[in-house]
Amino acid sequence: MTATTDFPAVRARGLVRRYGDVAALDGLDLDLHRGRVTAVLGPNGAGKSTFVDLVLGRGRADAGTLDVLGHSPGSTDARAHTGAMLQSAALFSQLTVREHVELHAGYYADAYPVDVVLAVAGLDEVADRRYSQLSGGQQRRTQFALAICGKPDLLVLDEPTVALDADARAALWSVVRGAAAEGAAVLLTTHLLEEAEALADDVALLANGRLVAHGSPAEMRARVGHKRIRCTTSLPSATLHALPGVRDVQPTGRHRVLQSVAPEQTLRALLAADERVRDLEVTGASLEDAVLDLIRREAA
Amino acid sequence: MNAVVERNPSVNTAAIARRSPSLPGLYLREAGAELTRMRRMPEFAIPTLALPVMFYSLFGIALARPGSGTAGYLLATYGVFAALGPSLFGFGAGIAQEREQGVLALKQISPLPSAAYLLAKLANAFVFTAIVLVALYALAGFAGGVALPRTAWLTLFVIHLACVVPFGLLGLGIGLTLRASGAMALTNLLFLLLAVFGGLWMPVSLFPPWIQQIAVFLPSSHLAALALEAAGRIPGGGALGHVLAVLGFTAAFGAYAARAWRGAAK
Repeated sequence: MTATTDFPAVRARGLVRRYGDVAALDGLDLDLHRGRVTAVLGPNGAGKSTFVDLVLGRGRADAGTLDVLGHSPGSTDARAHTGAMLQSAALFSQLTVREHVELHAGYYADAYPVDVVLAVAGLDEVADRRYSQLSGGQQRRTQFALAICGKPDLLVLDEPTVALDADARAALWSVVRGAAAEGAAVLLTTHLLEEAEALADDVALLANGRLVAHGSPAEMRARVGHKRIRCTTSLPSATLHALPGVRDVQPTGRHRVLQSVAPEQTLRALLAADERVRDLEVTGASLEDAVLDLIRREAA
Repeated sequence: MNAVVERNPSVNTAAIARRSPSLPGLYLREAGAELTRMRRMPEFAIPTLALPVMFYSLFGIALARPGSGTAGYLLATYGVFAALGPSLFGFGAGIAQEREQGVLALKQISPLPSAAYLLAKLANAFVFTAIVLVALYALAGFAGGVALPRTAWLTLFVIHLACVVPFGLLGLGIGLTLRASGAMALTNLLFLLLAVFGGLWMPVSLFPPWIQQIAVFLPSSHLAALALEAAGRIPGGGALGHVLAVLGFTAAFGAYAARAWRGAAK
Protein backbone atom coordinates (compact mmCIF):
# COMPACT_ATOMS: atom_id res chain seq x y z
CA MET A 1 0.00 0.00 0.00
CA THR A 2 1.92 2.97 -1.17
CA ALA A 3 -0.80 5.49 -1.79
CA THR A 4 -2.78 7.06 1.01
CA THR A 5 -6.54 7.15 1.14
CA ASP A 6 -6.80 10.92 1.23
CA PHE A 7 -4.92 11.35 -2.02
CA PRO A 8 -7.66 12.39 -4.45
CA ALA A 9 -8.91 9.84 -6.96
CA VAL A 10 -8.70 12.47 -9.66
CA ARG A 11 -6.49 15.52 -9.41
CA ALA A 12 -6.50 18.24 -12.06
CA ARG A 13 -4.10 21.15 -11.87
CA GLY A 14 -4.02 24.02 -14.34
CA LEU A 15 -5.76 21.87 -16.93
CA VAL A 16 -5.95 23.47 -20.37
CA ARG A 17 -7.59 22.06 -23.47
CA ARG A 18 -7.95 24.14 -26.61
CA TYR A 19 -9.99 23.51 -29.72
CA GLY A 20 -8.51 25.91 -32.24
CA ASP A 21 -8.70 29.35 -30.64
CA VAL A 22 -11.28 28.34 -28.07
CA ALA A 23 -10.08 27.17 -24.66
CA ALA A 24 -12.64 24.58 -23.55
CA LEU A 25 -10.69 24.21 -20.31
CA ASP A 26 -8.70 27.23 -19.23
CA GLY A 27 -6.64 26.32 -16.20
CA LEU A 28 -8.98 24.03 -14.27
CA ASP A 29 -8.05 22.94 -10.74
CA LEU A 30 -10.29 20.24 -9.34
CA ASP A 31 -10.03 17.21 -7.05
CA LEU A 32 -12.44 14.30 -6.93
CA HIS A 33 -12.40 12.31 -3.71
CA ARG A 34 -13.09 8.69 -2.89
CA GLY A 35 -16.43 8.02 -1.31
CA ARG A 36 -17.85 11.29 -2.60
CA VAL A 37 -20.14 12.21 -5.46
CA THR A 38 -18.89 15.31 -7.24
CA ALA A 39 -21.37 17.01 -9.56
CA VAL A 40 -19.78 19.13 -12.24
CA LEU A 41 -22.23 21.80 -13.32
CA GLY A 42 -22.13 24.68 -15.72
CA PRO A 43 -23.74 26.12 -18.82
CA ASN A 44 -23.19 24.56 -22.24
CA GLY A 45 -19.62 25.16 -23.31
CA ALA A 46 -18.39 25.51 -19.73
CA GLY A 47 -16.01 22.60 -20.24
CA LYS A 48 -17.87 19.77 -18.47
CA SER A 49 -17.73 17.31 -21.36
CA THR A 50 -14.14 18.22 -22.13
CA PHE A 51 -13.20 17.48 -18.53
CA VAL A 52 -15.00 14.12 -18.68
CA ASP A 53 -13.22 13.30 -21.95
CA LEU A 54 -9.81 14.09 -20.50
CA VAL A 55 -10.46 12.06 -17.33
CA LEU A 56 -11.39 9.09 -19.51
CA GLY A 57 -8.31 9.56 -21.68
CA ARG A 58 -10.25 10.65 -24.74
CA GLY A 59 -8.00 13.49 -25.73
CA ARG A 60 -4.90 15.02 -24.24
CA ALA A 61 -4.54 18.18 -22.21
CA ASP A 62 -2.62 21.02 -23.85
CA ALA A 63 -1.22 22.10 -20.50
CA GLY A 64 -1.52 21.23 -16.83
CA THR A 65 -1.55 17.87 -15.10
CA LEU A 66 -4.26 15.28 -14.65
CA ASP A 67 -3.86 12.25 -12.44
CA VAL A 68 -6.48 9.48 -12.47
CA LEU A 69 -6.27 6.86 -9.69
CA GLY A 70 -2.53 7.37 -9.50
CA HIS A 71 -2.09 6.78 -13.22
CA SER A 72 -2.21 8.78 -16.39
CA PRO A 73 -5.72 9.14 -17.82
CA GLY A 74 -6.64 6.54 -20.43
CA SER A 75 -3.79 4.24 -19.41
CA THR A 76 -4.48 0.54 -19.00
CA ASP A 77 -4.16 0.85 -15.22
CA ALA A 78 -6.56 3.79 -15.03
CA ARG A 79 -9.10 2.10 -17.31
CA ALA A 80 -8.96 -1.13 -15.28
CA HIS A 81 -10.52 0.71 -12.32
CA THR A 82 -12.85 3.09 -14.12
CA GLY A 83 -16.48 2.60 -15.09
CA ALA A 84 -18.20 5.13 -17.30
CA MET A 85 -21.53 5.99 -18.79
CA LEU A 86 -21.20 8.33 -21.74
CA GLN A 87 -23.76 10.85 -22.82
CA SER A 88 -24.31 9.44 -26.29
CA ALA A 89 -23.22 5.85 -26.46
CA ALA A 90 -25.21 3.12 -28.12
CA LEU A 91 -24.45 -0.52 -27.48
CA PHE A 92 -24.52 -3.38 -29.97
CA SER A 93 -28.19 -3.77 -30.84
CA GLN A 94 -27.91 -7.49 -31.60
CA LEU A 95 -26.72 -8.59 -28.15
CA THR A 96 -29.01 -9.16 -25.18
CA VAL A 97 -28.75 -7.22 -21.94
CA ARG A 98 -27.24 -10.24 -20.18
CA GLU A 99 -24.69 -10.79 -22.96
CA HIS A 100 -23.67 -7.14 -22.73
CA VAL A 101 -23.19 -7.29 -18.97
CA GLU A 102 -21.31 -10.63 -19.16
CA LEU A 103 -18.98 -9.31 -21.85
CA HIS A 104 -18.28 -6.03 -20.07
CA ALA A 105 -17.90 -7.54 -16.61
CA GLY A 106 -15.28 -9.83 -18.15
CA TYR A 107 -13.10 -6.80 -18.83
CA TYR A 108 -12.59 -6.27 -15.09
CA ALA A 109 -10.61 -8.34 -12.64
CA ASP A 110 -13.07 -8.16 -9.79
CA ALA A 111 -16.52 -7.62 -11.24
CA TYR A 112 -19.84 -8.15 -9.50
CA PRO A 113 -21.74 -11.33 -10.44
CA VAL A 114 -23.84 -10.68 -13.54
CA ASP A 115 -27.14 -11.44 -11.78
CA VAL A 116 -26.34 -8.92 -9.07
CA VAL A 117 -25.64 -6.22 -11.66
CA LEU A 118 -28.86 -7.00 -13.53
CA ALA A 119 -30.88 -6.84 -10.30
CA VAL A 120 -29.27 -3.63 -9.08
CA ALA A 121 -29.84 -1.90 -12.42
CA GLY A 122 -33.45 -3.12 -12.51
CA LEU A 123 -32.90 -5.20 -15.63
CA ASP A 124 -33.84 -8.73 -14.50
CA GLU A 125 -37.03 -8.78 -16.47
CA VAL A 126 -35.47 -7.70 -19.73
CA ALA A 127 -32.16 -9.54 -19.30
CA ASP A 128 -32.73 -11.80 -22.29
CA ARG A 129 -34.02 -9.11 -24.60
CA ARG A 130 -31.84 -7.71 -27.31
CA TYR A 131 -30.65 -4.17 -26.81
CA SER A 132 -32.58 -2.97 -29.87
CA GLN A 133 -35.85 -4.17 -28.31
CA LEU A 134 -35.42 -2.09 -25.15
CA SER A 135 -37.10 1.21 -24.36
CA GLY A 136 -34.92 4.32 -24.13
CA GLY A 137 -34.90 4.11 -20.34
CA GLN A 138 -33.97 0.41 -20.34
CA GLN A 139 -31.13 1.10 -22.78
CA ARG A 140 -29.85 3.83 -20.48
CA ARG A 141 -30.04 1.45 -17.50
CA THR A 142 -28.06 -1.14 -19.46
CA GLN A 143 -25.34 1.45 -20.06
CA PHE A 144 -25.41 2.21 -16.35
CA ALA A 145 -25.08 -1.51 -15.58
CA LEU A 146 -21.91 -1.62 -17.69
CA ALA A 147 -20.53 1.40 -15.84
CA ILE A 148 -20.92 -0.20 -12.39
CA CYS A 149 -20.33 -3.89 -13.18
CA GLY A 150 -16.56 -3.80 -12.62
CA LYS A 151 -16.68 -2.34 -9.06
CA PRO A 152 -14.88 0.75 -10.34
CA ASP A 153 -12.89 3.00 -8.05
CA LEU A 154 -13.86 5.86 -10.32
CA LEU A 155 -17.40 6.03 -11.68
CA VAL A 156 -17.97 8.61 -14.41
CA LEU A 157 -21.59 9.42 -15.25
CA ASP A 158 -22.20 11.91 -18.03
CA GLU A 159 -25.85 13.01 -17.91
CA PRO A 160 -26.91 9.59 -16.60
CA THR A 161 -30.64 10.09 -16.08
CA VAL A 162 -31.61 11.59 -19.42
CA ALA A 163 -34.52 9.44 -20.73
CA LEU A 164 -35.22 7.94 -17.31
CA ASP A 165 -38.58 8.29 -15.57
CA ALA A 166 -38.80 9.44 -11.95
CA ASP A 167 -38.74 5.93 -10.44
CA ALA A 168 -35.80 4.74 -12.49
CA ARG A 169 -33.97 7.97 -11.71
CA ALA A 170 -34.44 7.52 -7.98
CA ALA A 171 -33.30 3.88 -8.23
CA LEU A 172 -30.17 4.92 -10.11
CA TRP A 173 -29.43 7.59 -7.52
CA SER A 174 -29.53 5.07 -4.73
CA VAL A 175 -27.09 2.79 -6.57
CA VAL A 176 -24.74 5.71 -7.14
CA ARG A 177 -24.94 6.62 -3.45
CA GLY A 178 -24.16 2.98 -2.68
CA ALA A 179 -21.10 3.01 -4.91
CA ALA A 180 -19.85 6.15 -3.18
CA ALA A 181 -20.53 4.61 0.22
CA GLU A 182 -18.32 1.68 -0.78
CA GLY A 183 -15.52 4.08 -1.58
CA ALA A 184 -15.83 4.93 -5.24
CA ALA A 185 -15.19 8.45 -6.43
CA VAL A 186 -18.14 9.51 -8.57
CA LEU A 187 -17.93 12.17 -11.25
CA LEU A 188 -21.39 13.29 -12.32
CA THR A 189 -22.35 15.82 -14.93
CA THR A 190 -25.98 16.78 -15.15
CA HIS A 191 -28.32 19.43 -16.41
CA LEU A 192 -30.79 18.53 -13.67
CA LEU A 193 -29.85 20.59 -10.68
CA GLU A 194 -32.39 18.59 -8.74
CA GLU A 195 -30.14 15.61 -9.44
CA ALA A 196 -27.06 17.39 -8.17
CA GLU A 197 -28.99 18.48 -5.11
CA ALA A 198 -30.13 14.92 -4.38
CA LEU A 199 -26.88 13.16 -5.11
CA ALA A 200 -23.83 15.35 -4.78
CA ASP A 201 -21.54 15.77 -1.80
CA ASP A 202 -19.57 18.36 -3.72
CA VAL A 203 -20.68 20.69 -6.46
CA ALA A 204 -18.09 22.08 -8.85
CA LEU A 205 -19.36 24.89 -10.97
CA LEU A 206 -17.51 25.53 -14.22
CA ALA A 207 -17.78 28.55 -16.43
CA ASN A 208 -15.59 29.30 -19.42
CA GLY A 209 -13.35 26.35 -18.64
CA ARG A 210 -12.56 27.40 -15.08
CA LEU A 211 -13.78 26.44 -11.63
CA VAL A 212 -15.87 29.36 -10.40
CA ALA A 213 -17.39 27.82 -7.29
CA HIS A 214 -16.92 24.67 -5.27
CA GLY A 215 -18.77 23.41 -2.20
CA SER A 216 -21.65 21.35 -0.93
CA PRO A 217 -25.11 22.05 -2.42
CA ALA A 218 -26.08 23.79 0.84
CA GLU A 219 -23.00 26.01 0.72
CA MET A 220 -23.78 26.91 -2.86
CA ARG A 221 -27.36 27.89 -2.03
CA ALA A 222 -26.20 29.97 0.92
CA ARG A 223 -24.07 32.12 -1.36
CA VAL A 224 -27.17 33.56 -2.93
CA GLY A 225 -28.66 36.51 -1.10
CA HIS A 226 -31.75 36.83 -3.21
CA LYS A 227 -35.27 35.49 -3.65
CA ARG A 228 -37.16 34.40 -6.72
CA ILE A 229 -40.46 36.01 -7.62
CA ARG A 230 -42.71 34.18 -10.00
CA CYS A 231 -45.70 35.85 -11.61
CA THR A 232 -47.83 36.16 -14.72
CA THR A 233 -47.56 39.65 -16.18
CA SER A 234 -47.95 41.37 -19.51
CA LEU A 235 -44.99 43.69 -18.88
CA PRO A 236 -42.08 43.31 -21.32
CA SER A 237 -38.81 41.86 -20.05
CA ALA A 238 -37.00 45.19 -20.34
CA THR A 239 -39.49 46.86 -17.98
CA LEU A 240 -39.18 44.00 -15.50
CA HIS A 241 -35.40 44.28 -15.63
CA ALA A 242 -35.66 47.96 -14.73
CA LEU A 243 -37.63 47.31 -11.51
CA PRO A 244 -35.67 47.96 -8.31
CA GLY A 245 -33.64 45.03 -7.02
CA VAL A 246 -34.11 42.82 -10.09
CA ARG A 247 -30.98 40.99 -11.18
CA ASP A 248 -32.43 38.64 -13.75
CA VAL A 249 -35.63 37.86 -15.62
CA GLN A 250 -36.37 34.46 -17.08
CA PRO A 251 -39.43 33.38 -18.99
CA THR A 252 -40.67 29.99 -17.79
CA GLY A 253 -43.72 28.95 -19.73
CA ARG A 254 -46.47 31.52 -19.28
CA HIS A 255 -44.75 32.89 -16.19
CA ARG A 256 -41.85 35.23 -15.56
CA VAL A 257 -39.30 34.50 -12.86
CA LEU A 258 -37.47 37.49 -11.39
CA GLN A 259 -34.40 37.16 -9.20
CA SER A 260 -34.36 40.05 -6.76
CA VAL A 261 -31.94 41.16 -4.06
CA ALA A 262 -34.64 43.47 -2.61
CA PRO A 263 -37.85 41.48 -2.99
CA GLU A 264 -40.08 43.89 -1.02
CA GLN A 265 -39.17 46.88 -3.19
CA THR A 266 -39.45 44.81 -6.35
CA LEU A 267 -42.93 43.63 -5.39
CA ARG A 268 -44.14 47.15 -4.59
CA ALA A 269 -42.88 48.43 -7.95
CA LEU A 270 -44.24 45.42 -9.82
CA LEU A 271 -47.73 45.81 -8.36
CA ALA A 272 -47.68 49.49 -9.18
CA ALA A 273 -46.52 48.95 -12.75
CA ASP A 274 -48.96 46.17 -13.60
CA GLU A 275 -52.21 46.13 -11.69
CA ARG A 276 -53.25 42.93 -13.47
CA VAL A 277 -50.26 40.90 -12.29
CA ARG A 278 -51.34 37.37 -11.21
CA ASP A 279 -50.05 34.10 -9.73
CA LEU A 280 -47.51 35.78 -7.45
CA GLU A 281 -45.13 33.47 -5.63
CA VAL A 282 -41.99 34.36 -3.66
CA THR A 283 -39.51 31.62 -2.72
CA GLY A 284 -35.95 31.26 -1.48
CA ALA A 285 -33.12 30.47 -3.86
CA SER A 286 -32.74 26.92 -5.18
CA LEU A 287 -29.46 25.36 -6.24
CA GLU A 288 -30.48 26.30 -9.74
CA ASP A 289 -30.78 29.98 -8.79
CA ALA A 290 -27.46 29.77 -7.00
CA VAL A 291 -25.79 28.31 -10.05
CA LEU A 292 -27.36 30.83 -12.41
CA ASP A 293 -26.41 33.67 -10.09
CA LEU A 294 -22.80 32.50 -9.79
CA ILE A 295 -22.52 32.13 -13.55
CA ARG A 296 -23.95 35.58 -14.08
CA ARG A 297 -21.48 37.07 -11.61
CA GLU A 298 -18.70 35.26 -13.43
CA ALA A 299 -19.81 36.68 -16.76
CA ALA A 300 -20.16 40.22 -15.39
CA MET B 1 -1.72 -8.88 -2.96
CA ASN B 2 -3.28 -10.79 -5.80
CA ALA B 3 -6.33 -11.77 -3.80
CA VAL B 4 -9.67 -10.24 -4.59
CA VAL B 5 -9.81 -6.87 -2.91
CA GLU B 6 -12.99 -6.20 -1.01
CA ARG B 7 -14.61 -2.82 -1.51
CA ASN B 8 -13.76 -0.85 1.57
CA PRO B 9 -12.74 2.80 1.73
CA SER B 10 -9.84 2.07 4.04
CA VAL B 11 -8.10 -0.37 1.68
CA ASN B 12 -9.29 1.18 -1.53
CA THR B 13 -6.18 3.01 -2.56
CA ALA B 14 -4.86 4.41 -5.77
CA ALA B 15 -2.26 1.87 -6.63
CA ILE B 16 -3.93 -1.41 -5.69
CA ALA B 17 -2.65 -4.12 -7.99
CA ARG B 18 -5.63 -6.26 -8.83
CA ARG B 19 -5.51 -9.42 -10.83
CA SER B 20 -6.20 -8.78 -14.44
CA PRO B 21 -8.76 -10.95 -16.19
CA SER B 22 -7.24 -13.81 -18.18
CA LEU B 23 -6.20 -12.38 -21.52
CA PRO B 24 -6.89 -15.36 -23.80
CA GLY B 25 -10.36 -15.61 -22.28
CA LEU B 26 -10.93 -11.91 -22.89
CA TYR B 27 -9.95 -12.17 -26.55
CA LEU B 28 -12.05 -15.28 -27.08
CA ARG B 29 -15.15 -13.80 -25.44
CA GLU B 30 -14.88 -10.65 -27.53
CA ALA B 31 -14.56 -12.68 -30.74
CA GLY B 32 -17.45 -14.89 -29.64
CA ALA B 33 -19.67 -11.87 -29.03
CA GLU B 34 -18.77 -10.50 -32.46
CA LEU B 35 -19.73 -13.78 -34.13
CA THR B 36 -23.02 -13.91 -32.21
CA ARG B 37 -23.74 -10.40 -33.37
CA MET B 38 -23.03 -11.16 -37.02
CA ARG B 39 -25.13 -14.30 -36.88
CA ARG B 40 -28.02 -12.14 -35.77
CA MET B 41 -27.51 -9.69 -38.63
CA PRO B 42 -28.99 -11.45 -41.68
CA GLU B 43 -28.60 -8.22 -43.69
CA PHE B 44 -24.85 -8.67 -43.35
CA ALA B 45 -24.52 -12.44 -43.14
CA ILE B 46 -26.73 -13.50 -46.05
CA PRO B 47 -25.31 -11.32 -48.84
CA THR B 48 -21.77 -11.92 -47.58
CA LEU B 49 -22.21 -15.67 -47.63
CA ALA B 50 -24.51 -16.03 -50.63
CA LEU B 51 -23.10 -13.57 -53.16
CA PRO B 52 -19.82 -15.40 -53.99
CA VAL B 53 -21.56 -18.78 -54.00
CA MET B 54 -24.35 -17.56 -56.30
CA PHE B 55 -22.00 -15.82 -58.71
CA TYR B 56 -19.68 -18.79 -58.85
CA SER B 57 -22.54 -21.23 -59.45
CA LEU B 58 -23.72 -19.06 -62.32
CA PHE B 59 -20.49 -18.03 -64.09
CA GLY B 60 -18.16 -20.81 -62.98
CA ILE B 61 -20.50 -23.75 -63.35
CA ALA B 62 -23.89 -23.15 -64.99
CA LEU B 63 -22.72 -20.90 -67.84
CA ALA B 64 -19.28 -22.50 -68.31
CA ARG B 65 -18.69 -24.75 -71.31
CA PRO B 66 -17.81 -28.24 -70.04
CA GLY B 67 -14.14 -28.96 -70.40
CA SER B 68 -13.22 -25.29 -70.79
CA GLY B 69 -11.51 -25.18 -67.41
CA THR B 70 -13.60 -22.19 -66.39
CA ALA B 71 -14.72 -23.81 -63.13
CA GLY B 72 -11.14 -24.25 -62.00
CA TYR B 73 -10.02 -20.82 -63.13
CA LEU B 74 -12.89 -18.96 -61.49
CA LEU B 75 -12.58 -20.99 -58.29
CA ALA B 76 -9.19 -19.34 -57.76
CA THR B 77 -10.56 -15.83 -58.32
CA TYR B 78 -13.92 -16.27 -56.55
CA GLY B 79 -12.02 -17.48 -53.47
CA VAL B 80 -10.40 -14.03 -53.34
CA PHE B 81 -13.82 -12.47 -53.88
CA ALA B 82 -15.15 -14.51 -50.93
CA ALA B 83 -12.77 -12.68 -48.57
CA LEU B 84 -13.63 -9.25 -49.96
CA GLY B 85 -17.13 -8.93 -48.49
CA PRO B 86 -16.51 -9.95 -44.86
CA SER B 87 -13.25 -7.99 -44.74
CA LEU B 88 -14.35 -4.75 -46.34
CA PHE B 89 -17.89 -4.54 -44.96
CA GLY B 90 -17.30 -6.11 -41.55
CA PHE B 91 -14.40 -3.78 -40.90
CA GLY B 92 -15.03 -0.73 -43.05
CA ALA B 93 -18.67 0.17 -42.92
CA GLY B 94 -19.14 -1.73 -39.66
CA ILE B 95 -16.54 0.21 -37.69
CA ALA B 96 -17.67 3.53 -39.14
CA GLN B 97 -21.14 2.84 -37.78
CA GLU B 98 -19.84 1.73 -34.38
CA ARG B 99 -17.74 4.85 -34.18
CA GLU B 100 -20.68 7.09 -35.02
CA GLN B 101 -22.98 5.40 -32.49
CA GLY B 102 -20.40 5.66 -29.71
CA VAL B 103 -19.87 1.90 -29.36
CA LEU B 104 -16.19 2.31 -30.19
CA ALA B 105 -15.79 5.11 -27.61
CA LEU B 106 -17.20 2.89 -24.88
CA LYS B 107 -14.80 0.08 -25.85
CA GLN B 108 -11.85 2.48 -25.92
CA ILE B 109 -12.46 3.78 -22.40
CA SER B 110 -13.16 0.30 -21.01
CA PRO B 111 -10.31 -1.93 -19.81
CA LEU B 112 -10.62 -3.99 -23.00
CA PRO B 113 -7.30 -3.95 -24.89
CA SER B 114 -7.89 -2.36 -28.28
CA ALA B 115 -6.18 -5.34 -29.90
CA ALA B 116 -8.99 -7.57 -28.60
CA TYR B 117 -11.59 -5.37 -30.27
CA LEU B 118 -9.77 -5.45 -33.60
CA LEU B 119 -8.84 -9.14 -33.46
CA ALA B 120 -12.49 -10.01 -32.76
CA LYS B 121 -13.41 -8.33 -36.02
CA LEU B 122 -10.53 -10.01 -37.84
CA ALA B 123 -11.49 -13.43 -36.47
CA ASN B 124 -15.03 -12.80 -37.61
CA ALA B 125 -13.87 -12.00 -41.15
CA PHE B 126 -11.78 -15.19 -41.16
CA VAL B 127 -14.70 -17.33 -40.04
CA PHE B 128 -17.10 -15.89 -42.60
CA THR B 129 -14.54 -16.22 -45.36
CA ALA B 130 -13.77 -19.81 -44.39
CA ILE B 131 -17.46 -20.73 -44.52
CA VAL B 132 -17.79 -19.31 -48.03
CA LEU B 133 -14.58 -21.02 -49.12
CA VAL B 134 -15.78 -24.42 -47.96
CA ALA B 135 -19.01 -23.91 -49.91
CA LEU B 136 -17.11 -22.79 -53.03
CA TYR B 137 -14.66 -25.69 -52.88
CA ALA B 138 -17.52 -28.17 -52.46
CA LEU B 139 -19.32 -26.66 -55.46
CA ALA B 140 -16.16 -26.73 -57.55
CA GLY B 141 -15.27 -30.29 -56.61
CA PHE B 142 -18.68 -31.89 -56.83
CA ALA B 143 -20.52 -29.81 -59.42
CA GLY B 144 -17.68 -28.21 -61.37
CA GLY B 145 -15.49 -31.24 -61.71
CA VAL B 146 -12.43 -29.40 -60.42
CA ALA B 147 -9.74 -31.85 -59.37
CA LEU B 148 -6.61 -30.63 -57.62
CA PRO B 149 -3.86 -32.34 -55.64
CA ARG B 150 -4.47 -32.12 -51.90
CA THR B 151 -1.55 -29.74 -51.39
CA ALA B 152 -2.96 -27.43 -54.05
CA TRP B 153 -6.30 -27.27 -52.23
CA LEU B 154 -4.46 -26.45 -49.04
CA THR B 155 -2.27 -23.77 -50.63
CA LEU B 156 -5.34 -22.28 -52.23
CA PHE B 157 -7.16 -22.21 -48.89
CA VAL B 158 -4.24 -20.45 -47.20
CA ILE B 159 -3.97 -17.84 -49.96
CA HIS B 160 -7.70 -17.21 -49.97
CA LEU B 161 -7.85 -16.83 -46.19
CA ALA B 162 -4.82 -14.53 -46.22
CA CYS B 163 -6.78 -12.12 -48.44
CA VAL B 164 -8.67 -11.11 -45.28
CA VAL B 165 -5.61 -9.27 -43.94
CA PRO B 166 -4.96 -6.63 -46.64
CA PHE B 167 -8.67 -6.15 -47.39
CA GLY B 168 -9.46 -5.96 -43.68
CA LEU B 169 -6.80 -3.33 -43.03
CA LEU B 170 -8.09 -1.27 -45.95
CA GLY B 171 -11.62 -1.51 -44.58
CA LEU B 172 -10.43 -0.62 -41.08
CA GLY B 173 -8.72 2.53 -42.33
CA ILE B 174 -11.85 3.61 -44.18
CA GLY B 175 -14.10 2.80 -41.24
CA LEU B 176 -12.00 4.88 -38.88
CA THR B 177 -11.66 7.83 -41.23
CA LEU B 178 -15.04 8.34 -42.86
CA ARG B 179 -18.52 8.74 -41.48
CA ALA B 180 -20.87 5.75 -41.72
CA SER B 181 -22.67 6.88 -44.89
CA GLY B 182 -19.43 7.87 -46.63
CA ALA B 183 -17.69 4.68 -45.56
CA MET B 184 -20.58 2.61 -46.92
CA ALA B 185 -20.46 4.39 -50.28
CA LEU B 186 -16.68 4.16 -50.64
CA THR B 187 -16.65 0.53 -49.49
CA ASN B 188 -19.25 -0.37 -52.09
CA LEU B 189 -17.21 1.39 -54.77
CA LEU B 190 -13.97 -0.32 -53.75
CA PHE B 191 -15.76 -3.65 -53.49
CA LEU B 192 -16.83 -3.42 -57.14
CA LEU B 193 -13.54 -1.93 -58.32
CA LEU B 194 -11.42 -4.60 -56.63
CA ALA B 195 -13.73 -7.38 -57.82
CA VAL B 196 -14.25 -6.32 -61.43
CA PHE B 197 -10.91 -4.75 -62.36
CA GLY B 198 -8.98 -7.18 -60.20
CA GLY B 199 -10.35 -9.96 -62.40
CA LEU B 200 -12.26 -11.73 -59.62
CA TRP B 201 -15.53 -12.07 -61.53
CA MET B 202 -14.06 -12.76 -64.96
CA PRO B 203 -10.49 -13.06 -66.23
CA VAL B 204 -8.74 -9.71 -66.73
CA SER B 205 -7.53 -11.00 -70.09
CA LEU B 206 -11.06 -10.51 -71.43
CA PHE B 207 -10.80 -6.75 -70.84
CA PRO B 208 -9.30 -4.19 -73.25
CA PRO B 209 -5.56 -3.67 -72.63
CA TRP B 210 -5.94 -0.26 -70.94
CA ILE B 211 -8.22 -1.78 -68.30
CA GLN B 212 -5.75 -4.60 -67.81
CA GLN B 213 -3.19 -1.93 -66.90
CA ILE B 214 -5.38 -0.85 -63.95
CA ALA B 215 -5.24 -4.34 -62.47
CA VAL B 216 -1.56 -3.94 -61.65
CA PHE B 217 -2.50 -1.28 -59.10
CA LEU B 218 -5.09 -3.44 -57.36
CA PRO B 219 -4.14 -5.86 -54.57
CA SER B 220 -7.01 -8.13 -55.65
CA SER B 221 -5.35 -8.89 -59.00
CA HIS B 222 -2.08 -9.91 -57.33
CA LEU B 223 -3.93 -12.12 -54.86
CA ALA B 224 -5.91 -13.62 -57.75
CA ALA B 225 -2.67 -14.29 -59.65
CA LEU B 226 -1.22 -16.11 -56.64
CA ALA B 227 -4.36 -18.21 -56.32
CA LEU B 228 -4.39 -18.97 -60.06
CA GLU B 229 -0.80 -20.08 -59.86
CA ALA B 230 -1.53 -22.32 -56.87
CA ALA B 231 -4.43 -23.87 -58.79
CA GLY B 232 -2.14 -24.40 -61.78
CA ARG B 233 -4.21 -22.12 -64.04
CA ILE B 234 -1.44 -19.74 -65.03
CA PRO B 235 2.22 -20.60 -65.50
CA GLY B 236 4.30 -20.34 -62.33
CA GLY B 237 7.29 -18.10 -61.81
CA GLY B 238 5.57 -14.78 -61.16
CA ALA B 239 4.79 -15.58 -57.55
CA LEU B 240 7.60 -13.58 -55.96
CA GLY B 241 6.53 -10.37 -57.68
CA HIS B 242 2.92 -10.86 -56.63
CA VAL B 243 3.89 -11.72 -53.04
CA LEU B 244 5.96 -8.54 -52.85
CA ALA B 245 3.09 -6.52 -54.28
CA VAL B 246 0.66 -8.00 -51.76
CA LEU B 247 3.07 -7.33 -48.90
CA GLY B 248 3.49 -3.77 -50.12
CA PHE B 249 -0.26 -3.19 -50.22
CA THR B 250 -0.67 -4.81 -46.80
CA ALA B 251 2.01 -2.58 -45.28
CA ALA B 252 0.46 0.54 -46.84
CA PHE B 253 -3.07 -0.35 -45.67
CA GLY B 254 -1.68 -1.27 -42.24
CA ALA B 255 0.03 2.11 -41.90
CA TYR B 256 -3.17 3.84 -43.01
CA ALA B 257 -5.25 1.87 -40.49
CA ALA B 258 -2.78 2.50 -37.65
CA ARG B 259 -2.82 6.23 -38.33
CA ALA B 260 -6.59 6.23 -38.49
CA TRP B 261 -6.78 4.31 -35.19
CA ARG B 262 -4.65 6.89 -33.40
CA GLY B 263 -6.79 9.63 -34.91
CA ALA B 264 -9.99 7.97 -33.74
CA ALA B 265 -8.62 7.59 -30.21
CA LYS B 266 -7.67 11.33 -30.21
